[in-house]
Amino acid sequence: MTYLLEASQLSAGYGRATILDGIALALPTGAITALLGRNGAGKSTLIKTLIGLLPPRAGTIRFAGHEIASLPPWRIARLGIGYVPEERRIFTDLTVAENLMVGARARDDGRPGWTTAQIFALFPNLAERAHASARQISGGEQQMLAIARTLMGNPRLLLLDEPSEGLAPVIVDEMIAMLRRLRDGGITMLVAEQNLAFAGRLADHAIIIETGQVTWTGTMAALQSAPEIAALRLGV
Amino acid sequence: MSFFLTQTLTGLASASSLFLVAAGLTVIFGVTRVVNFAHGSLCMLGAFIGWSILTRLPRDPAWFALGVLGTAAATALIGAALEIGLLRRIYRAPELFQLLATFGVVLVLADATLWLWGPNDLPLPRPPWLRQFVMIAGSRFPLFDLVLIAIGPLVLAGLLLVFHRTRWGVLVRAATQDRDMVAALGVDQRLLFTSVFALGAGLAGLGGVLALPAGSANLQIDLAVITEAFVIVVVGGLGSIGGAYLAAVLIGVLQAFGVVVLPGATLVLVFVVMAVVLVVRPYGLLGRDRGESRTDAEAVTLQRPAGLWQITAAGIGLALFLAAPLLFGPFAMAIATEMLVAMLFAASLHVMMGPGGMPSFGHAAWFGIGAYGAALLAQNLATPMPLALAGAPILAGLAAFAVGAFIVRLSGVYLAMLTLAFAQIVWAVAVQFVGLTGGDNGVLGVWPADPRGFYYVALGLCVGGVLILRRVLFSPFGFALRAGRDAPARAAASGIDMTAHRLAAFTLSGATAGLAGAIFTYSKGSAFPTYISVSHSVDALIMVLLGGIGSLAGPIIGAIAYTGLFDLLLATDFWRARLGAIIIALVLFFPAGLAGWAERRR
Amino acid sequence: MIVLAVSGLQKRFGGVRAVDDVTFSIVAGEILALIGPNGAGKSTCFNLINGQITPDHGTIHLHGRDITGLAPRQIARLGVGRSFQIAAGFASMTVRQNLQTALAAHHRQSWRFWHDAMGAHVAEAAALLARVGLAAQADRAAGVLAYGDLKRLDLAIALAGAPGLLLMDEPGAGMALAERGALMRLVQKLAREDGMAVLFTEHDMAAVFAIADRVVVLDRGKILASGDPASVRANPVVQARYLGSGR
Repeated sequence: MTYLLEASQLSAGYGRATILDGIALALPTGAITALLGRNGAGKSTLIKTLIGLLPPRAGTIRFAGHEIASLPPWRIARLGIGYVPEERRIFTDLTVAENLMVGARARDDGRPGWTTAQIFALFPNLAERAHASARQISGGEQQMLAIARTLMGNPRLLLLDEPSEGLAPVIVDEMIAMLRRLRDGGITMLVAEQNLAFAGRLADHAIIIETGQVTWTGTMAALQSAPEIAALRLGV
Repeated sequence: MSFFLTQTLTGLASASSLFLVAAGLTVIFGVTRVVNFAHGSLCMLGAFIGWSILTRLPRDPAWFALGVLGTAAATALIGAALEIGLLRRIYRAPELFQLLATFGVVLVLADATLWLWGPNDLPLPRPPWLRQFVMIAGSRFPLFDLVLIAIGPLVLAGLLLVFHRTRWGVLVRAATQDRDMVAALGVDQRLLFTSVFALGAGLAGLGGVLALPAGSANLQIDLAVITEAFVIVVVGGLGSIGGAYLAAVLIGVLQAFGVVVLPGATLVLVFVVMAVVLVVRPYGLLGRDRGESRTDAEAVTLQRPAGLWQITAAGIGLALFLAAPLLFGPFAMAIATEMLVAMLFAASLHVMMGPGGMPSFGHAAWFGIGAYGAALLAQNLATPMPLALAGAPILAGLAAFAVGAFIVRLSGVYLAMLTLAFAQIVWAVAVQFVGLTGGDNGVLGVWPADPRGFYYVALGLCVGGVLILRRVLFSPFGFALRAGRDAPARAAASGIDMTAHRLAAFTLSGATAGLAGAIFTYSKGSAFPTYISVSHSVDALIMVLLGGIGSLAGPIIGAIAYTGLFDLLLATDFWRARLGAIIIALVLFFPAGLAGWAERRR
Repeated sequence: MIVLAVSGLQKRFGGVRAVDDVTFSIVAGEILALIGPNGAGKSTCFNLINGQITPDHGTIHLHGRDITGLAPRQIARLGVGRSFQIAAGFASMTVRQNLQTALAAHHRQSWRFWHDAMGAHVAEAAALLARVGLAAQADRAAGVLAYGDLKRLDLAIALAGAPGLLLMDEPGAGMALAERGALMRLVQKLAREDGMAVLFTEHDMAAVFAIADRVVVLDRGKILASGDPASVRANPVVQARYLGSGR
């Protein structure tokens, strides 16, 4: 198995608090990995550290042959990592189309990348609301926009933080299908989730973190066949 | 009818140049979150550079326009250099340090301009076309003012077009809302920030050069303009260009009428309008709560009562101050008094900024009100010294209460800018109300009867004042104040009325600063507008930040060290540039403050 | 004795009914859990009860007194304590000083300028710290506490107001499992000993079913079900909409 991203001995935190305490993880290329853990375990912090929004205090992160641990976020993004934050953080002062414009970036290798037309084909709801203010679209549409905006930068790795949070079950089904299609198109993903059922339907692999450390790694199938692991480590 | 029309047009003309400067300030703040104190200096540079260019060009409208554009481009370049050389390094520093650093730039640029262009006002020789008038409703109206009136909306439309029709503009708007997210999407922040800063600086330069025909290039532009621009940006809403135009028109027209209807009270009028707007809309006309996060690196600095060695050091210090007149003579007594006053002044600011959590960039206002209060009581009402010394803090406290009632609800940058704006108004009153205050000549001849006796009075009042502040900080009131700063929602949930506590602290702090001012007046025998200047406010800030905001000992040490340093510097040429350079260096090398630095070294 | 009675509560944000016709009450000594998916309206309910926002319709009564529309500070003074989802102590003060501050506020002493705050309420503070298990940490700065201890401090500050009603927003959030269990048992003990009514939200169903006397399930602003834990857990609608078939 090849790994698109490998991190080791990763530590990070805010102020005096240490949130990540020597994390080691590897993301298999072309697969969806679920990042599981309780509230406060450090999932969001880990994802922010990977995209560079929170500079790590120690450790290394290798992505596609580059050491990215000390790079600013925009350099990391340009190397091909897309970030879909928990709070979505779409630009509500902008229109839907303008949101896509912020994320748009040509591929470095000169090959054709995502076009707005392709994005709208993938997210027909967004096409209808292209010129609406992003403030006025529904929560589900905002989540789709957050993903679409990131795709416009042609990432090879997508980091998604709690994408199912607050969404209606029907929308969640739609999103699972869409993310799996993106994976089949060659995009690697790390999906932070608290919802084990959602993660089980989406991911190929799973990583469990507890109080800032990785305590379990394996395939999703293995995790699902051993409910006592989830019960112990996730409290479900 | 014609009166209203011409005054409205005059107001609109001045609104245009106000808008140009404020638009630059607001765009820069929106994206970089830095309140650029040096924005007025860029405007001043625009005026001087424009003067140098335009006086060398043929005097017809086409060359004039070209010269104006060239000036804007030159200031844009200077702005870009400033961003790359300094601001880029301090984006992560606490906001007060950013303000301080840009104030350092103000000082350096002021001396640089003085050195390059000399001390004299430089009026632009006006060719005939600039002196033309048009007849409007039966009265003569300058043609150039009509041009200015058109430029404001044109620039506004141009900016809106750029911000809505170009990718760069969309990126700027996105970054104004969430710059971290923009970076996480792969947008090169350095390029974006530098270009935004250049645009803002160019607009400031444009405003500066366009104001030339009606005035002159002079060394007072920087602080005069920055105060007006702050007011406009706050009234319009931080980060909102449309709001800046609205506010500029509001204030421009108001000033135009105010000059005629209430001459001398225009600045007060402006402040009243600002207060009304902020009471109705706390984030300005078109502004929004941007969820400012407090960058308080020292929030965990524990407040402790003084330990044994601190009490010993204080005791030795007190003994030295007691013995100073006997041991070292009158000159030492003067310096010692200055140090004592600075100590009380800095300690009063500490109460507001530290436990109060209310950053102030205009603390000299209260000092000045105390100073002038005592001086005027003594001069005009022949009040004896003890009564004047008692009256001054009461006056300053009342003023602080009245102003604080409007502004203590605000936080961070808003509060800092409003305190500054108020201090500028007090300063303007001191300069303009010549009949009462003597203008630039000040109030003179306020001497104590017995200098040495007065020294001990000053010592007692300053040390006593600091001890009173200390006692209050360790009272239930002080604890509640601190609790509200640390965790406002938690404090409110415990039943603490935060607004009232902050207002009380604001008032106490103002009154104490007023006492310091009154003592200073008697020690110098006079009160001058410089007591209320921005740089005096900044002096207090530097003392507090130098020593460390975490404890009351910080400002005391800072005040003594800074007063000594300042007396050394004052004796040199271009002391402003030196002081500015020291401030910039402090911010660059100790971004978390000396106290934070010491904390990390431990 | 009914401590809190909420009736016909409604709040809209934009076009969305965040809380829609919610009615429930709590008696002294009772622990009521408010559960539901994200966005169900739990936090809005909380903020309505503690006065951070005012309802569009409906009333809130505390000990029979109408408190609808009062400010958070006034509601706090009527005996409503709250702990925060993200625990917040007064970081620049010691743990003891945190409690001295809260106790002074409770005794209406926060306007004393001339008393020594550090000498006041020492015994009362110590007793509270002992109750939540923080006695050993009394002289540490709140800003350097471990998160679990900060949660305890947050609770102790809330208790300093001797509340008749305690609101807890996700008390277990961010805590390790063992710590979480200990905190929940502590809350249960306090409710039993003091006859304090407790209203809390929580995602951790184990914690909910372990200590709640009654459970109210919210979904899109409306009450989906309510009753004792066993009956709520067995309710097919709740299982389908919230708990999931796996539980």
